[in-house]
Amino acid sequence: MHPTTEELLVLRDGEDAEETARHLEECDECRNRLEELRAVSSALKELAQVPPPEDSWTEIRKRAIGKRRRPVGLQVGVAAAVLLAVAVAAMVGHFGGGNGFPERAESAGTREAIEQLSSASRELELLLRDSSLQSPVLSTQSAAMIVELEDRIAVVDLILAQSSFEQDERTVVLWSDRVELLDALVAARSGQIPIGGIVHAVNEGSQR
Amino acid sequence: MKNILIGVFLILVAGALPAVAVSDGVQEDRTDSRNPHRELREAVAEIRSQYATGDRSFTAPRIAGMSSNMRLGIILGGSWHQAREEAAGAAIMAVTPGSPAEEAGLMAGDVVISFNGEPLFEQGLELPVASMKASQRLAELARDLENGDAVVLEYIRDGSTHQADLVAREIDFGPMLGKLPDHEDLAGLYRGQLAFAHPGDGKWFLPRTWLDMELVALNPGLGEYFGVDSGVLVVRGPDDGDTLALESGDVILGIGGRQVRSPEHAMRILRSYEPDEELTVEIIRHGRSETLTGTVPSVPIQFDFEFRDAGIPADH
Repeated sequence: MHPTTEELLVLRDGEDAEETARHLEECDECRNRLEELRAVSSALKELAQVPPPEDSWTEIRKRAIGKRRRPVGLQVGVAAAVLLAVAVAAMVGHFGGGNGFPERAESAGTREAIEQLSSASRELELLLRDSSLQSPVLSTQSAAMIVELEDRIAVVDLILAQSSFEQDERTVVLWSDRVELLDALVAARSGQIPIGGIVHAVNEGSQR
Repeated sequence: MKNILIGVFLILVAGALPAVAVSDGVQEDRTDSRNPHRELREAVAEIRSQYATGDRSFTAPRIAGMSSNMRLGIILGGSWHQAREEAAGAAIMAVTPGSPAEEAGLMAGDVVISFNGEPLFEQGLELPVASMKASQRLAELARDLENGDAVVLEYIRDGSTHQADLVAREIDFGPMLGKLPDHEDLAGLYRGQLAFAHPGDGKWFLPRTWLDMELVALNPGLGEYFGVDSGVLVVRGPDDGDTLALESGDVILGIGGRQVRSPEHAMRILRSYEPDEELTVEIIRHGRSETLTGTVPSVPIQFDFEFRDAGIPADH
């Protein structure tokens, strides 16, 4: 019985896999597959060192705005970046999936997605720094909402700080969380209720 | 409010397309402003749908080992991120809002080159390798920090070198970490449930009269007027009162002896109280110092924070 791709990957990544190694000594087919996996691995490493176009963010933004023929604000740029990430991820998935190589959690697609999401996050952080966007007067409810949002971002960051060197699927989802939360925080700090943000303050005691 | 919104919009637009005059069409765009938000949310939702079925084997012990790395509040990038930076060093991918790093002015995109005078990379290495090593070194150094440690980071922004002075501090995660005790909850992380409200969130034991107030942090001018360095001015107080009721024009200096810097800070301090605990609020009223004393209510006020499936209220 041939080892699964997962077992080969364990071996490729240098972990202890005696049984798989023994099988490979006798099986040309599996040895070839392992070589292919190693090739994918080193190809990905090569990719990692190729810098993306320097002004990719500007280009995305221009395209997004061009499509709408008039400027409608940064959020479109952010949305476009995220959409592009989805497109790239889908494309890589498509071509990556068809050639017999296993789909790895970490791929050029997830790397692209994280790159785009972290660009969006960076733009949103810049908005948070812009003092002219901060509403000086806050209702106590808005202040409470800001605190709740900051707590959630802190927890997402806590996990990202540990996994920022990884580019797997869960990291993509965490970055998605971060972008959405920052977007809500930008709105909350400017004195608006964030997208979909409803604050009902219900005194539980008075309800009973 | 309208003026603020238009101002906000102009800045957004100016950031998006600096070279184009945008004075016309601002009014109509403003009413469209919910669409870009929706697009963003839809785009992120689409990414989620592609990735949320991935590895969910994230375990609690890993969370437990993490907190010490968060005393600065920076997320460092991997080699793919470093590659586009021009300088060798540890590139910051993100800065946690409310963290020491944010307070010290560090920003995503800054490249840290030294930690307390120690260079983070070796000369002679190629850039991606040098940057990777620098990030690893900075992560190690940050992990060893204790609360209150002073840290000086040198960093490069737009080609020039700057310095940031930080004081390491455990970030206040509020009640969030306590909500992640078991594997089930952590698995939910990948479906994005962590980020948004779920039952049990948003319980605040607030004095009832503190709802619906409007507060503003004192700026230097206001501080001089009231004769204090920092505090929070009550712009609009509650209609009726109990012993903890504030009035319009009061300045909150402290809560339970802790100095108050901003409305958010006031809310954070209040949240740290237990039900039925005694609460004192130090204020200035009509130019005189006073202390209000009362009890934290025994029933919470439930803030229902819901961030899903709704547009921005058109004119809020």
